[in-house]
Amino acid sequence: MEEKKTTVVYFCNSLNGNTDVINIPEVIAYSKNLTGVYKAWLPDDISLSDPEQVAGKIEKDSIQRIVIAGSNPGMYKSLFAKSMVLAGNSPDDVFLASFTEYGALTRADTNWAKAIVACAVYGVPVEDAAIPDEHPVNHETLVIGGGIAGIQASLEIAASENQVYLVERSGTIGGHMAMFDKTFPTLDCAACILTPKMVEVGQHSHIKLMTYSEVQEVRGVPGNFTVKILTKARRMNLATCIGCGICAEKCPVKTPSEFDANASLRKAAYIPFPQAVPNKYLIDESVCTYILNGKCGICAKVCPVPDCIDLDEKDEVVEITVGNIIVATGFQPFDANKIEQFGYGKYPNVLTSLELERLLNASGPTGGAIAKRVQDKKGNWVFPLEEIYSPKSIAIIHCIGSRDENHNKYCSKVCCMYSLKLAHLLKEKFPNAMINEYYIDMRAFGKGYEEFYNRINNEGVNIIRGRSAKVEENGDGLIVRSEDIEGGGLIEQEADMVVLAVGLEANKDAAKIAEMMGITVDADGWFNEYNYVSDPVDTFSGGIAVAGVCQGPKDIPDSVAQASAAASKVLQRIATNKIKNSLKSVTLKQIEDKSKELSKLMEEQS
Amino acid sequence: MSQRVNPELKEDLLKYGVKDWNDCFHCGTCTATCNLTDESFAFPRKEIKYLQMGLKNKVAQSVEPWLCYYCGDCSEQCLREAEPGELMMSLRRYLMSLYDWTGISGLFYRNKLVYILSFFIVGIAIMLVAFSTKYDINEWKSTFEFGHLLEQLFVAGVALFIILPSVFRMYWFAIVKDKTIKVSFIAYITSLWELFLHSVTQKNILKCSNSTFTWFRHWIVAVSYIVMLVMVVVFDWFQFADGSGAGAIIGQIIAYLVFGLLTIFSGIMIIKRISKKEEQYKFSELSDWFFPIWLFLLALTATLSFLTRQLGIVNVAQLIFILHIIIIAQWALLIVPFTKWAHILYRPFGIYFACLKKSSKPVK
Repeated sequence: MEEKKTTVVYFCNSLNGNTDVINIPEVIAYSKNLTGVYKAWLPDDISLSDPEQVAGKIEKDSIQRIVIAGSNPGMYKSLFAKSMVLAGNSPDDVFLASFTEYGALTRADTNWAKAIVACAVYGVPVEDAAIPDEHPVNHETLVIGGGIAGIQASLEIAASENQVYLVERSGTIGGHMAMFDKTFPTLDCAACILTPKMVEVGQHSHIKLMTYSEVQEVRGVPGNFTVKILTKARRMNLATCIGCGICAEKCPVKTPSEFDANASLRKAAYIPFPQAVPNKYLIDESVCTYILNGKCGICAKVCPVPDCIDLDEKDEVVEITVGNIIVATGFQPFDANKIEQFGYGKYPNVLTSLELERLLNASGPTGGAIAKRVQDKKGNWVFPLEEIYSPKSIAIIHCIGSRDENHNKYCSKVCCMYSLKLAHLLKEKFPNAMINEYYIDMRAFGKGYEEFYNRINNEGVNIIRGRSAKVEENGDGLIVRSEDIEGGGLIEQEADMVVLAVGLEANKDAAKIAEMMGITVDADGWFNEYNYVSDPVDTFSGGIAVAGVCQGPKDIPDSVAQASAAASKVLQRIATNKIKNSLKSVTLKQIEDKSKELSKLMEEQS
Repeated sequence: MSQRVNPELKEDLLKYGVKDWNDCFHCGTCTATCNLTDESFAFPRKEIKYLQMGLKNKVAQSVEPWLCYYCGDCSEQCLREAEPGELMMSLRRYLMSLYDWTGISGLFYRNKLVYILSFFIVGIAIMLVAFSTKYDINEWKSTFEFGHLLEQLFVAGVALFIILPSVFRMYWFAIVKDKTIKVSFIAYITSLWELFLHSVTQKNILKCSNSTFTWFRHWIVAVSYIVMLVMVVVFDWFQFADGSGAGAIIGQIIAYLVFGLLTIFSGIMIIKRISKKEEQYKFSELSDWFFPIWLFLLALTATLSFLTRQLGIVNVAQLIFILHIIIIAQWALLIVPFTKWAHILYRPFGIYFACLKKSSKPVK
């Protein structure tokens, strides 16, 4: 490799339209100067390269190694491997320099692209060449987000008797899972799995639970972060509140309940749900009339505990130091209002899947029964007990906001399965009702999922290929118009209720959180992991791991698994007392030198 | 019966304006969105499937493209931005080329250069013919007589040799070659009403969403065009310009009304294609441009030559009329038989054949 130039670097022009984020000509120029590079260039269309022609060139210029660089170089590997074989070389001497794998694309970092090419040219794995320096580790850990992923990660770390701070934005932990009735495919009761974990978090001596709090600022280096946390005023004393609920009973202000997916009303003084952890009330400052205009204050008067309610309590900022951070901030459901043709927001009995989930839940607003949605005297849409009925025909429409170029292009992964689950729960309650599922493709991808699909199919749910496109009003009911692709022709279903299987979206402030933490988000807003295949929990910033849906759509088992994986990463660092600095702290020169050194070493060994 | 797969169909259709046949993942949104679909005729997804599979026979047999009026709802709601509306438009172009026995239609759609060149050739040819006839082209009255004769020749010739055979070929592909159906003689008679109704009213456009103005515009253009055609071919329309008396005045009023409306509405069509705001005007092939532009020029030169002749500025009238004759020749010889104009026949016949298919007994 010393003086002979035997390597060719091919660039593929398929940067997914991201040509502006990386300066390709600059990377090409850089590659030409690397040791042993004979030629580095960007063919017009690499996919049209003819293996025999390439082989001819390889022989003529006595090329021994080929590097393919770009966003998806793997696509062309077989083509060049064939050329190498035709030229009498080993197909193993085709190396890939993928900009997507090591984050050069997502971070729009031309220097990183150069480093990746350099590693490929010298035949050294990036992770062996790019080794950041190490720091000692503070043994305390911050977990952001109190959903199932955050809970799981906290419990795993706390079980090793290391201190965890669990910060949750709302008044309780539990997240979306607490809202679900059953989990697929086992049809376990979600609360039966989650509630014990929540209680454990609340009682664990090594977990400091900080609900109604938000991370405001993260400073420092991996192993020693200083984190500012804003603890919003609950206006009730966490220590003395006995959870009697008299304040909520007497509170005159009503507002939609977030926990019931806005399907019911709660008071301004409220507990998110009866099993909340901590099981304490709080006051919603955005609607409380005392806070808004100084009138009322009834809750403070009726509270049986002296000095428990302090309506004038102020927000507080706490500063903690931690060694590791796990981000588990979850998702938000797609806003069904954005797709007009399904009539959400226009026809009251078009529901989102989350709303139906709450209706079906025995602890939900209707005690598990289905009710018509009506407007109460004050103009709030509710499901009153007087409106309970037995629907005769229900339509469930898949892929709302997912796999859609106009909204989210990705598949939300969970909707097919939760729709089947909802169909099952409805069939259980209304065996004679017609339940039609309208889908594009049925994605039953996990263990026991295909069997679950078959089971629901056999239960008499009509599973129709064709997503449907229109929901219209028809007297009292609704009409769903769809193509029945397998049966042929068009179908119009009269339905009492239409359920929209809304997809998952990154939280709207995910980018803000990412910026604060020094991590990155992808085009859809999900947090970027270090390596999608081989290291899906760590990030480019050392000491920060991601878990759960905030890294990409996934179901509960996957979220739990990833949370445990994130915890194991953290525990590994705590156990060795070593933590790698942010990958960004490594310079191009360092990577170049290290990979050269390693490649020389490998040559000597062979 | 199995269907023969033609792998080249997809590549072929690219030349007729198909954007990308691979985008579609068959969710059925387009078909369910369309207000014109029913149990028997569910499109455009099915047509996309035929195209993806290369089922050329199925495409040739289908009348669905003629049932679509391109409101653009399907393209707007398509999850994959696969432009199903434009795909239906491309299929109409393709079917036209299939119906045309000369092959010229397909050549025009596939090769822009040939299409443009043929406009030049026709223009020059008309000039040459004009100077080599027994009519004295320098004598204005003679020019007009010559023009009128040409117009009649064009209409008769094109109708007899191109349009009639094309409609017959359409019937051949859509009904005779479709072995899955057997049409009764009575159906041919009873469905004639639909043929008449839709030719005259084009009322299916009204089923599309927000289409009242679209329909109105289309209907006005169609009616004005037919009136103009009758005036030009059956009557010698310039006799109204010279004449006096009640008949001539009525003739003049109708002429100005028809020419004026055609100028305005074809102008609107051009502007809409330029602005690309509405889904159906986003993509324009060369033939989509030439149709409204030539209609506009036709109506404009007709108005001006009529006006100048009426005012007695005969020299100017003669000049504009020669221009008008060239435009009419290009229109009648190139646009009418081979490209977009022919939809005026294929659409009602498409609906007629759809009625036949619907009322037919399936062959076992």
